[in-house]
Amino acid sequence: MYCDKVVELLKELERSREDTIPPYNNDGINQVLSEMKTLDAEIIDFLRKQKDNLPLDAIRLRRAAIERNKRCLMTYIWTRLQRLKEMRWEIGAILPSDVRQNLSQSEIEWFNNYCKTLVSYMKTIGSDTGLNLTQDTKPPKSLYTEVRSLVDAGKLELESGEVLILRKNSQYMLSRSQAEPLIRQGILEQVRQ
Amino acid sequence: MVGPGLVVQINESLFQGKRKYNRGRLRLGDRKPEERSDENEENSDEDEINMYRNIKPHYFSIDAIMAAQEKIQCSFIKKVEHVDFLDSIYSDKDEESDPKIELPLWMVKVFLVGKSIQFDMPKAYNEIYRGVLTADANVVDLFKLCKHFYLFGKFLSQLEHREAYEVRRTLIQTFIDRFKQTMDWAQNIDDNQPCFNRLDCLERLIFNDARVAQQHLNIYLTEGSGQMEIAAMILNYRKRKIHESRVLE
Repeated sequence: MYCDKVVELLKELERSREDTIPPYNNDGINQVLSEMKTLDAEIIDFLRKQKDNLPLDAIRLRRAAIERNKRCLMTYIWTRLQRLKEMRWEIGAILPSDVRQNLSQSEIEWFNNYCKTLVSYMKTIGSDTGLNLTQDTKPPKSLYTEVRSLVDAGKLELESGEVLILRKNSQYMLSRSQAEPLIRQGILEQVRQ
Repeated sequence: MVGPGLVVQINESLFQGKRKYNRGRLRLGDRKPEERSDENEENSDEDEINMYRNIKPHYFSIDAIMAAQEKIQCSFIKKVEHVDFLDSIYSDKDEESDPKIELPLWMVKVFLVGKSIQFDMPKAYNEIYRGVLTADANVVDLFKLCKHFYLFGKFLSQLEHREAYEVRRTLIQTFIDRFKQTMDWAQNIDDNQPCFNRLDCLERLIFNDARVAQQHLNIYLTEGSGQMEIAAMILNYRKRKIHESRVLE
């Protein structure tokens, strides 16, 4: 029946967890595209052969199938982009390599463009240095915060120019703005008061 | 505020329903029905921002697409030619006078335009199940009955069918009846997998949101605000990595 393949594609996407991106199914998409082309050719064929007494139902069905294929393909791409977008906010501009592997060429391009747009937007707002929107997602209570390092992360250059060496299980007092990205990446942990 | 000679200005007012002897609750039932949205409804820009998590079906909603893929049993009134997969039902027409076939909803919609098809309400929406749902909606395993119960039902009730009105009414009543239980489960039970399995897709979304909200509230009450935490996505990513490496070993 028509549109079975594209539904398979969407099911594959739906089955995957919401915070992951499954591999881009190029074959599947090409199959759907060729199905759409066949349907289109069939419609044109009908119109050419029978000038009168057109098989209206058959044509309507094929048209609906093309429309539906289009909708599903766009949904496939759109859903993936939404997840990718969310990753930019959650993980940051550098994606893990195994996530990157699952993306198509144009998706990687899109992601880079998205990062650029975001950065240039953040530069334009706020005072002269711009405003980092990914920071202070929760209202801060103090400027400094006590953190514990969870891994041997190595050197960290502070805003004052000092260099700090992060060792596992040792505690530091850092400025909030510097600690937050590291906490979000899971390198540091905030010490609970 | 009250007394003779005082002027009170009312900015907004809502009068609806009947109230007998000025007692009891206002009945919301007499409200004018809101305009129903169509399956392919265009969202305004304002909605688009939240579209990803939106419960309302939109053009890119996977749930809406899947709901339109559910099968309906139907029979043809007119013969439809030049469609390959339909030829088989005509070949054994001699044995049966009324050939039946299962078609997905979006195809049925196409054939309804040409009035060449008629269909019966699927199992979950027929008279028997409507009776069950009216009697006690809370005991029904909706997921087993129909994965996209509400969405599919909504699309069905938009088609031309003599039972459409009843289906619509049952859907609304079922949702109202089950909603309290869904929220109850989400907020109060820790191990809620068995309950979760009985919910329809739409209810699952609500359930998850309710649970997350409850967890946030609990954290706020016990630990206060302002704690910075590892991003959920990275945390899950790490857990998956650990799991994968264990499987490999």
